[in-house]
Amino acid sequence: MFINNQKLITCILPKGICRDVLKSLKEEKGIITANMNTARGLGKLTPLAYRGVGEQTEKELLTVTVSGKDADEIFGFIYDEARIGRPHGGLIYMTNLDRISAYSLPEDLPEEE
Amino acid sequence: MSKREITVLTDVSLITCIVQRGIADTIVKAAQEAGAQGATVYYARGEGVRERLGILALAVEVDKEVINVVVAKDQADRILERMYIAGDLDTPGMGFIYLTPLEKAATYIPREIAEKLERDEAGAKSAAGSDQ
Repeated sequence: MFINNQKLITCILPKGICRDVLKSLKEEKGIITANMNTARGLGKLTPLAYRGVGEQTEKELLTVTVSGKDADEIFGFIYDEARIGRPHGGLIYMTNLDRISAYSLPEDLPEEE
Repeated sequence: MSKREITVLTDVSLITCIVQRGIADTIVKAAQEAGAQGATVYYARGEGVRERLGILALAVEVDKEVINVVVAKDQADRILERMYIAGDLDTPGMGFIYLTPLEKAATYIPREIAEKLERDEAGAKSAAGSDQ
């Protein structure tokens, strides 16, 4: 029912990237325990910042739970897929989770269009 | 594995603050003045004490703003306190704030800053070695 030794990976991404990363996670890594949310980013370093005065920009928030043993690999995978290592590419971080519930989908579930 | 080298940050914490809608900008401004580089804000719906506070439970806004700020560990306490004060979080029903340690984080770091970090780290290691 519950699983131990899990990690939560969170990404703050520029608008328009998250859906592709979710797709890659599902197709290439078989990960379905991922969620996406929309957010606004405020900061001194946003693309719209002017002379150090921040403007808000649209962001997407990606959260993924993964097992502890795969966590570093998935962390690197998302970093590459979301192209975080470029200016204004976003941010990724990982936290420890004590316990999570098991999650699965029905086998005959049709693909999303 | 990752196709390129990732500069991983380890001494970082996440501050999460949940407040009534419309207050986040004030709190983010306070966090930036205390040293935070930026923040991410999204909306949520809150339930709980709201129903028991204020006249007809209308005083506390049902719509919430959730603020995420990633900060260096050595700055975390100061920024947390400033956000707490800016949001009047000592008033019942205003919201709450918490600090989560992050195992690691990564983002774009300009080459010159990454090199400076490496030099500082090497310097700290050699100083620690000479002390022993």
